[in-house]
Amino acid sequence: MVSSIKSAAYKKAKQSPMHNPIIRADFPVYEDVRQLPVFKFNRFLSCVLGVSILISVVSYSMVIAKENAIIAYHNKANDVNYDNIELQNKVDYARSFYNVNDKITKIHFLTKAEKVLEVKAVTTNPVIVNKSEKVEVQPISGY
Amino acid sequence: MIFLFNINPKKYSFFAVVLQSFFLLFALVLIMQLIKLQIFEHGKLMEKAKQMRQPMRSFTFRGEITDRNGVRLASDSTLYDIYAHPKYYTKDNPPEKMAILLSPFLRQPSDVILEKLNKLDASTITLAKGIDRDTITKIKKLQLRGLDLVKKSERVYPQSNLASHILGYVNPDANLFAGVEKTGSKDLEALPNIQPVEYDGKGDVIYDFNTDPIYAAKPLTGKKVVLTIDSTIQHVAETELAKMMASTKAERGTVIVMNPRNGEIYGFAVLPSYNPNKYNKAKQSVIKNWVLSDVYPPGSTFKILTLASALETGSITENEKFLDTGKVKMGEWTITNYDYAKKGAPGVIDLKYLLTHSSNVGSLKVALKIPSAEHYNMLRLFGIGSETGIDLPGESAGIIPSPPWDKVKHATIGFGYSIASTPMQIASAVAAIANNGIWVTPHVIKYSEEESLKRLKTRRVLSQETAITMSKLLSSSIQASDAKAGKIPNYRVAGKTGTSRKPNPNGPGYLPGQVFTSFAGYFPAYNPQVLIMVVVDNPKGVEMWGSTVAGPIFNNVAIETARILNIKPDAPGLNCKNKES
Repeated sequence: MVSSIKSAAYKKAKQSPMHNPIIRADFPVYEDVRQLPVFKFNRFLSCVLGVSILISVVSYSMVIAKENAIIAYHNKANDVNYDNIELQNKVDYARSFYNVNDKITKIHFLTKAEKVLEVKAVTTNPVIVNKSEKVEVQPISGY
Repeated sequence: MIFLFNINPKKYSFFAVVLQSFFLLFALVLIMQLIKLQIFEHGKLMEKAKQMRQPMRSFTFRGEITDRNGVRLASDSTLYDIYAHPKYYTKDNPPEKMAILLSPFLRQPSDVILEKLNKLDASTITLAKGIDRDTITKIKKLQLRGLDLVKKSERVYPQSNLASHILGYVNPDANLFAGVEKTGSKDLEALPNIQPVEYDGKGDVIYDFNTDPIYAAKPLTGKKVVLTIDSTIQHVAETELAKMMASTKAERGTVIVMNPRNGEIYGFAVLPSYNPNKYNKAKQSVIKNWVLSDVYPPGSTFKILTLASALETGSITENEKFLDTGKVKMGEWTITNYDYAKKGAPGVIDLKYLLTHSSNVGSLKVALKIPSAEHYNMLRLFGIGSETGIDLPGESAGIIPSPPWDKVKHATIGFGYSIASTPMQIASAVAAIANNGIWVTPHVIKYSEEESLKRLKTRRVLSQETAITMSKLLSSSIQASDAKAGKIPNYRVAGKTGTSRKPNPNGPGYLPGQVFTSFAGYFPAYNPQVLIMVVVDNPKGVEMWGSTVAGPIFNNVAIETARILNIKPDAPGLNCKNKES
């Protein structure tokens, strides 16, 4: 892109029209030789800036996403911990002496029978029931 | 750019200068702003940042209270208070709709809620207090704006009435505490020393490298307080006492089960009890731990201290004998033995007979042999007339008259009148005899060795020889007695029954027909591991004695305690129905 002619004309930014030119033509205006590295450097900086902005946006969104995830986990862990405390309290209450006593009292679990019926032992010979004879079943086709 | 958009170089140059100037200006403004923020307003902004962050959690739990085996006796639960802020109401959810939606959860009629919500001038409206977590989860799902759900902790006692007088209660709003909740408050409120978790304005945790996620997700909880109480022994003591109180229609009663060696209290039943979860519904007279605050004439159980004092001071010997006339006249007063009407004068008696038959005449004669100043000093050494220092609030010092005592006073002190003590004082005094003569502060909180040295006091009251002599006399008198009190299978018990008349709280004299029945004993007699003190106030019936009311409670509690603590029998076969030998 840069020609040798361009490099020779580094002292002037652009050609000025001459009063008595030998050749008249529409020559292209040459840029200052310093402008090229400046342009290149600016382009480089722009790229760096662009990439940094991109990285910042991506990393920021990642951090935010991660933070949200952490907060979500934190809230879940919190809920589990609090649920655990509540459940533990319920378990402690369920197996407490007073609760067990109350429940046993309500269902009369340990209440002794008011009256015990005494039945005399059977003195007669036991009745032996003979096994009934086998019933012959006629097979029916289809079953 | 120029080639792409074909911009006139002159214009481009001007544009570039303007753009550069703009950026320069912008950069300068930024730098100036940074200098202003970082240097000039540094202190002010730091303060503001600190205020915005919440370095400490406003929501904390009190520490748990457990028994000696880790059974939870008190812990915290989460409840919510619901407030409404009218300025945040939305058109989608007007107060009318909110009232209808909230009504089933708050268990209030919708018109009552609406009336509250319509106080539009108020900045904050209290809708409901003490709502449980399940309900709050459902309310959250309604997504109503303008509601503020404020979390708070509430003390819960899963064992209900069990050991209610030891645990006490907490009323943080009125800054009222009772029982261990009061004496152990410093520990129960002591939060762990960890890196504080910071919160942002929304209440979310700000996680950084120092944030411990385990602590961040847990409610901060105070230090756990472990009691010396064994909840099984406590339950047995309460059940046995309740049974006897129900059958005798007694007013109040207590059973103290303790380790005489170190003063640890295994069980401390105080009836009638209350449910600390609903302490505000209980009468103040029930909430009060009368065993520590109220005094009673100890009666015949005090004869243990009279005899021990006489032996220790050398006023009598182990083989001393007295003439028991069954009845003695002292000035205007006539003092008789309880069985004088039946048995008359027993004649010459020894110390074993004195204890077996609870001779008042014998006891007063022993008391009168001790110089009153020495007797007073001995009783003070036993802890009569001073607080035991138990780690529970509201303890009374009891009443002991200062010497010199007149003859009647001295004589009556000998069998447990003219003085007043708490059941805990008598229990710790008898425990000193069981502990080879060394008195130890009774306590319900389990301390580390270091803390024990600081908090617990010990002092020698009796020589070891006197203590052993007393154990021998007390155990032999139990075995010689016709009563069943103190006779438990496979163990030799050293103890004494007591029955004393109930003083009139509104004036001099005693309440007719009202008595305190008691029993103080320990076992195994020569290697005591458990001391049990029983006092039943005003049992009603025909034969209301220490041996018939307090004695059976002692026996039942002692049998169960020996089983629970797996105490090795010292006299296998003794007091068993089917004796092998």
